[in-house]
Amino acid sequence: MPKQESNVSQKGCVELEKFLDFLHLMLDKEASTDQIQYLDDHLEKCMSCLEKYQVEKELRQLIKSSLAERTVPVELANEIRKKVFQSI
Amino acid sequence: METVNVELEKREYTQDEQQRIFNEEFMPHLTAMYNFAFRLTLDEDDSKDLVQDTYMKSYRFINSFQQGTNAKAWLYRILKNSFINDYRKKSKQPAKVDYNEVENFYNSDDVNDDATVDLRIDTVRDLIGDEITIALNSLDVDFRTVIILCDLEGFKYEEMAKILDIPIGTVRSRLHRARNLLKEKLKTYAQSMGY
Repeated sequence: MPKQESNVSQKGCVELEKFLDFLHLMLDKEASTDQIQYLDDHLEKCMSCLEKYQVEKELRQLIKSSLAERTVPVELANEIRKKVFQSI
Repeated sequence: METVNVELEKREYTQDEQQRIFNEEFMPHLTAMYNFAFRLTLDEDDSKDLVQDTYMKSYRFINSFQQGTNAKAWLYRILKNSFINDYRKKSKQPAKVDYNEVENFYNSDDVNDDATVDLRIDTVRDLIGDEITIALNSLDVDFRTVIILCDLEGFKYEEMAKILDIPIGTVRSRLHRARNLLKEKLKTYAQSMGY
């Protein structure tokens, strides 16, 4: 079963390389209107690439949510100002 | 005439202007800078030192800063350079470098020169935050940096190119490799856990 799935995902779409190239551009907010249009059209007819899209999208969301913002130590801003303005 | 041109290019701010720029344009990015420093050093004390060094340098070189340009990107660039030049060697927790990774993936601008790692959607949905953090932190610092700048901070490729001092093509290829390496690690982890 896993072997079959792997073959499908590796060779299932002849446009995979182009799709992934445009997909990363879109998710990074760098894609052109034409590239976004291509992705929309392609995703309607290609289940194999639809999964790639979901993986990349969810992975980015996971990265954002897993790297929670750390609180800056309370004294740091004052320490910096003190050091910087003392150096004048 | 030459002297005049040089003076026009290099703006000298008054002390009041310098302090205003520092307080109003640089200091609001403190949280972002501290977080970036922590993602690079993985240590709280090292992060504080690195951020302090960065702000000291930003003030020292404040005349090189052009008002109205992207202060955040400028500060990121200073912090990244400080980390590479001064810090990497003395950091308590040096960047974990897998030299095979670097050799295999580093020296090319071709985005499509390595196969894309195939990660299943079910695998991604089984992952939790800790696993992502561990996998990300285990990447070589150069790969970790591009993912942080792009996915976490939302910098454009052009801004990343300026921060990292590399061509846009290299930004894209490095991102591509970083994401593949991350997926490879997550896939290996998921397999070991029987997901």
